Amino acid sequence: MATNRVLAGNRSTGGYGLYVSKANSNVLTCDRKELLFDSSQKRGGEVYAGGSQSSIGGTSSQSFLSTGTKDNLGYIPLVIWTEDKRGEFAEVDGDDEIYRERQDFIETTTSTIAPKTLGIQISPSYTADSGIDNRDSGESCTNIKFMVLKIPCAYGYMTSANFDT
Amino acid sequence: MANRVLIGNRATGGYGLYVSRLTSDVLTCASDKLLFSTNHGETGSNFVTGGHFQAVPVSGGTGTNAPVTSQTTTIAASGTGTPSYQDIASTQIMLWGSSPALTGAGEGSNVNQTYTYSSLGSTSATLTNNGNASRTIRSVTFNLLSTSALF
Repeated sequence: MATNRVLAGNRSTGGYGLYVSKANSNVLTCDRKELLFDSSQKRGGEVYAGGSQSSIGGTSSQSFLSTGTKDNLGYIPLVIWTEDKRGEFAEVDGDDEIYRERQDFIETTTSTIAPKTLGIQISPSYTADSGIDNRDSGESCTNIKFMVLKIPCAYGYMTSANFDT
Repeated sequence: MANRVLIGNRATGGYGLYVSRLTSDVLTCASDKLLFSTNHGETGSNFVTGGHFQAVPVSGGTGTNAPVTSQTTTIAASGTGTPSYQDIASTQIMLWGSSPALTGAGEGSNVNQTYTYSSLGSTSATLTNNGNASRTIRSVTFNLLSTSALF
């Protein structure tokens, strides 16, 4: 028998709103974890912006509000991304060794994303041209794909004002 | 009680489906107060929609076959693999991979365990193991939603 999958109305758990359940789950009675969309939650995974860039150059950033009339959300949002620097790396350079759980660091602001390096591993024999950049490519990235979600994700923005109202 | 769901013509955004967050009026609230919106404000290409952030199946999802949302690909050092996915994703996808913990770190030699996705096609992509050891990558596929470089 077909299962109720979509509800626009008053749900016993959640109240008035729009609800969509996963396959084989009754939207009227299922646990919230079985809902694909639940308007009673404070925040959801709506994609607000995103895109695909072949590269972002060193010291450059990419605005994700650059198209049309997209508003600044007023906080630094959660950005999900992938690029050519996925994975781990351990590298030796003379007396230095540095382990990086991720090479693909980015910096996000309320309107931009930018590839970043966290600096250079400094050894006791440090000279200006020694050490290891965590990206191994300055502050550039290639083949980046990203999505900006309407979820605050930065110190100072993960507040009740941003989550509860 | 605030208006929470609108199927129709919104003053900002035009025709579409809109759902506001708790206590916000879906008719008039700011962008951040919308939990779901079919308009994303792109000039000249309204209604491309941002949609919901969710994984698309890599297989199954038809008839009585449940959708499978992740897969593993084992690739030899410096080799390539071919993770596949449903054509629902077209070529505008974001492949998200994870791999087991790195081995050999801290032993005085370079250990590269990075990997790269390329040649995104309608049903599969190329996954390159840049490292010096066989690697098993688990991939999930997300739809990028739009053909625009930035959407």
